[in-house]
Amino acid sequence: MTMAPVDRYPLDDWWRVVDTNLSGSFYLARAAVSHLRTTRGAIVFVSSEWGITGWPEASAYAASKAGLVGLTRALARELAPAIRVNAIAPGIIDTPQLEVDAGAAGISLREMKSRYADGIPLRRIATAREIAATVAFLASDDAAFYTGQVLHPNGGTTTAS
Amino acid sequence: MTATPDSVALVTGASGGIGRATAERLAALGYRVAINYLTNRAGGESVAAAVGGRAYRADVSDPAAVEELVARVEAELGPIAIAVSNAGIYQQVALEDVTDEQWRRTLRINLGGAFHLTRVVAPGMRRRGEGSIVFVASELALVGSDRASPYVAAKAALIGLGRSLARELAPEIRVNVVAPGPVDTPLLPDSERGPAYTAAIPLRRIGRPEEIAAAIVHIAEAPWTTGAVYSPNGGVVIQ
Repeated sequence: MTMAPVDRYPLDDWWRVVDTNLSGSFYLARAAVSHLRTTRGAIVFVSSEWGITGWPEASAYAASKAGLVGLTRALARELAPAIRVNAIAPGIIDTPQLEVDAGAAGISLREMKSRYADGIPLRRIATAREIAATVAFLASDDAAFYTGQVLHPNGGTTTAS
Repeated sequence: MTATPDSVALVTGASGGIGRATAERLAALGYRVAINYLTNRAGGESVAAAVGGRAYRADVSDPAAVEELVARVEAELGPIAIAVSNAGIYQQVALEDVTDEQWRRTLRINLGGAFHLTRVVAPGMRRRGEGSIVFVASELALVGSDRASPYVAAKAALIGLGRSLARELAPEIRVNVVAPGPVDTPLLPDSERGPAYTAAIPLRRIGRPEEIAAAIVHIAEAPWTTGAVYSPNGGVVIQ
């Protein structure tokens, strides 16, 4: 994920982000669909809170993640009733990307986490395991009546639909 | 933002439909309007003649062509105060049948067109201390649609792009999105014109291009509105 102002965003980087995050998910769904029809399986796309709220200098990332929400809604209608299609839009997660962000901002990892946590009602960032649990839920039979939905494991930052 | 005799507005995909109606409404308010088109030269020229504007051919999926478009408009008409990214394509196609080229082209036009336009008009708007950008998305981005996954994904991406750029380009430049419901334009599939379809719309009819143009121009001129998504859709989306 490259961060850059829109008028100085390198074109190749912009499309690399969109094509990896959005097109990559589309290609996966297209390739998997005939198999999933026979297994009556489920698709879960990983979107992002930034795709819902937008974020400055993250135009490619936010566009790609918002696009995944549209893809979720389109494919949920198209592939029903055989295949369920849902998405998650997680908030800030404790992943190696944070270290990169901290480096770019010239602050320590600890400081970076605390800055993010300050803006989150639950006062902490998520663990990857918590986010994985949301994905597993949507993929499981416990979510058998969910399709076209976006769940927002984000510690309470947004209530956007 | 109130039009002065020098104010310039650029509308992409303005040879017909919503783009044409938007160009007409802007011109009626006094804007000097640049009409962009790609294939329908006769349409573009006739809109330009009708509104006293100028027609410009450019493929919005080509970043170099968009740079040239904006440079020509600003040289010939003046600095752009309002940019409306409206050009788009739509195809009904099942997921398994979407070709790589269909996917790529839909993203490059429907999403890339807005990105390419913004990156070129934003520096001048910021320098002048004001500007307004409107993306035309679709109500389908909010509710999904059967057999239109590339279109819906691209239009939903446009909403995320609009919200990001609204944050990034504030306070000088406002960025908003209009997500129309089914409108009587050449892009509307026949399946959404019949009585069975319109009976399911709370307002019992499809929209007129002029009604969407009114929303586009209103949001373009609304001084305290940025990052908003307006969806004139006859009540198709109530959430």
